[in-house]
Amino acid sequence: MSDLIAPIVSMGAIGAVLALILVIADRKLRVKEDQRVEKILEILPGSNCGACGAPGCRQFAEQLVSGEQGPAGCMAGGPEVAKKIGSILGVEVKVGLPQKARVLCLGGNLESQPRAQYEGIRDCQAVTLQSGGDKSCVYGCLGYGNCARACPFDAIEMTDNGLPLVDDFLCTGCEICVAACPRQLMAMKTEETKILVGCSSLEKGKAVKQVCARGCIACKLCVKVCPQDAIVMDGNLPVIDDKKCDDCGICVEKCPTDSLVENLINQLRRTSEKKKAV
Amino acid sequence: MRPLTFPRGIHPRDHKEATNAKLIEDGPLPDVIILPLQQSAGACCLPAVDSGDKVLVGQKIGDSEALIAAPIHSPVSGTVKAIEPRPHHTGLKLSSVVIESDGQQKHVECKGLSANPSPDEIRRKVRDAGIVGLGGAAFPTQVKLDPPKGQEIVSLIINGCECEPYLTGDHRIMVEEPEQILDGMLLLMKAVEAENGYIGIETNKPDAIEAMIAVTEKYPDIEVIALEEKYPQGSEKQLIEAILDVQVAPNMLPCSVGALVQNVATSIAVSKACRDGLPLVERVITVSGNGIATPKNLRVAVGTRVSDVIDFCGGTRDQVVKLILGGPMMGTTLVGREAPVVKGTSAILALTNDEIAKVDVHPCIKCGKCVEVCPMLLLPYRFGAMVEFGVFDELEDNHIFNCIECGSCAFICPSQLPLVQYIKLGKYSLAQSREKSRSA
Repeated sequence: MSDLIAPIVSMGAIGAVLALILVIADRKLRVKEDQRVEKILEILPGSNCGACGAPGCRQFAEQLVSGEQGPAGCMAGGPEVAKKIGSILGVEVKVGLPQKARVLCLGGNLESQPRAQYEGIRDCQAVTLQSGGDKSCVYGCLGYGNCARACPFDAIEMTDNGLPLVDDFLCTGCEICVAACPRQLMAMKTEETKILVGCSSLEKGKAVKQVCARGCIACKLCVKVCPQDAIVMDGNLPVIDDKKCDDCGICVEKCPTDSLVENLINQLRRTSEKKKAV
Repeated sequence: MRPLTFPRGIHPRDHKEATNAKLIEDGPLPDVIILPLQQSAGACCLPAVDSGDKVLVGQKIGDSEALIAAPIHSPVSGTVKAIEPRPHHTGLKLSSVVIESDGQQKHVECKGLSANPSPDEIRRKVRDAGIVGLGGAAFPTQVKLDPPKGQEIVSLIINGCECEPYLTGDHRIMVEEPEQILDGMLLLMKAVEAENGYIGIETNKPDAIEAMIAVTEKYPDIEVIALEEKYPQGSEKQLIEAILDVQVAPNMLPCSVGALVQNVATSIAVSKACRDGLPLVERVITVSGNGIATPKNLRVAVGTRVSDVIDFCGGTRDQVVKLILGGPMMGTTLVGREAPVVKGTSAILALTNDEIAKVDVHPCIKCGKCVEVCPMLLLPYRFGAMVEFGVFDELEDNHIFNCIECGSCAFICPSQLPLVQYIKLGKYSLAQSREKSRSA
């Protein structure tokens, strides 16, 4: 029996000392975590896309609580998430309309022929660095899909014609594709924009016509036919004033090269079902 | 003595037989000259003329106040037709001065320097004449002649390696104008107060070695060095290592080891500028490849369109599949014939199907051949993998910016990976993200 006393006492003493250290450490070194961080984290999309500027959703939530970011900072979450964050933080959130990615080029492989045979890395930036790209239009979409690969929500698909197609039900408006395109052909649009100019070429009409069947040839017909006088030319491309435009569609109908299209917000869906995201 | 060289490198077939015995001819005098305002490494020039102005041969048409820049001069007399974006060999349209020639070739008054010019006078003349490195990089020469304080240049190396396949322009000027190369060399040595002069020539040009030895015999401080025929022997750091047996440290300039390298053609341009006051408005290029009807060495005006040069050489044969401006290892593939010859253009090559590699890319098998040949002692296969999988932050730790893009790794790769393209993409992406973080 006496053999057991020594170990029990010594083990008990060690246990007590360690427990005391833990208690002191808990008191002295405790990191107080704001309960709101966890709550916000539950609301956030959780894709860690980085569009807000923070490395991931947790860091974004922490920045929200510390006031470094505003509730509307989550591009992917959009207005609904922003409103919920606002209610947790106790601030009023003014939300804009949901924005969706749009492609400012309509010249796919059928409309704009390649000017060279390209063999190399299948990457838009790599092609651009190589003799300015294989597309005959140096402003047009190269079709190697940097935007589609960059999209964290799998919302962009490259069509057989070599153009990106955005699925509005998956697109969160995070703007990552905008940064991914070396030719700046991705832009965010809301439903306020009724008509899209589907060409980004700065060339004159003749030069555009030589390289693309759907490029804007700067004929100014849209400017002339617009009953609202909502269209003006900026260089060789039309600019549509969203406030004046009443979506009558006359310009779309009259455009000889079909380079103006209706901006169908929330109506675009991908064609293939193969990669449908959850 | 065994020819000197640097460690590693590759041995591509040199294909120089089509033009290496042909005399340099005067090229076409085109009706229209297109001078991109970005001709050299460094800053872009601003136009010094307006649309509609009359210009003479040698008149300055563009200049920049930046430190690293060289003015541009007109190679013809005529009228400035426009200053507008024109096709460039990079495949994009760049702002260019378009001059319509009147065919008279009236010169502006040119005055050379005195018989015994001071180093400062030479440097100023080199800048005024718009001289850039004619080996291909087009780096403004006067910047190299003005090393940072505390660094003295002891050895001037004149680069007559011409290690790129097909190219024979430098070879021919060494055979045909050795005296002028020597004169330019003496002027350059004077400008930087160098003690020794070397002329490095690959052994595949025995007649050039002979010609240069013949003219330099009387100069004890100038030595003609025979170098092994190997690519990239003509690269600055490799040439210094071969001749002086010292390595230039990464991120350092040749002047850190007391060396200055200039191309043979640059040397001639310096001589012409200092003796006759002529600015750099023409250069010797090689027009070759199986696709060219009659391959030639031509002295062409800077700004001559590729199409004019090719027509002058009898046009191309039908089977041409690739047009290259510059050498096959480091040149740029052209997507049209409208681009002009610029100061840095060393050749126009029209290659047929049997001259170019069939591209059939396979995954990297980690054979290490690219590491064996890389003259900069880098690990090219790692760059390839890092860029492919977007691990850009590790590129710099692996010294991607030391890469000279010579193409040896891609040449030797049994999987035919486009390694240089990966490296270029990696460098570009790194530079972009740096710029972004700087502006943020």
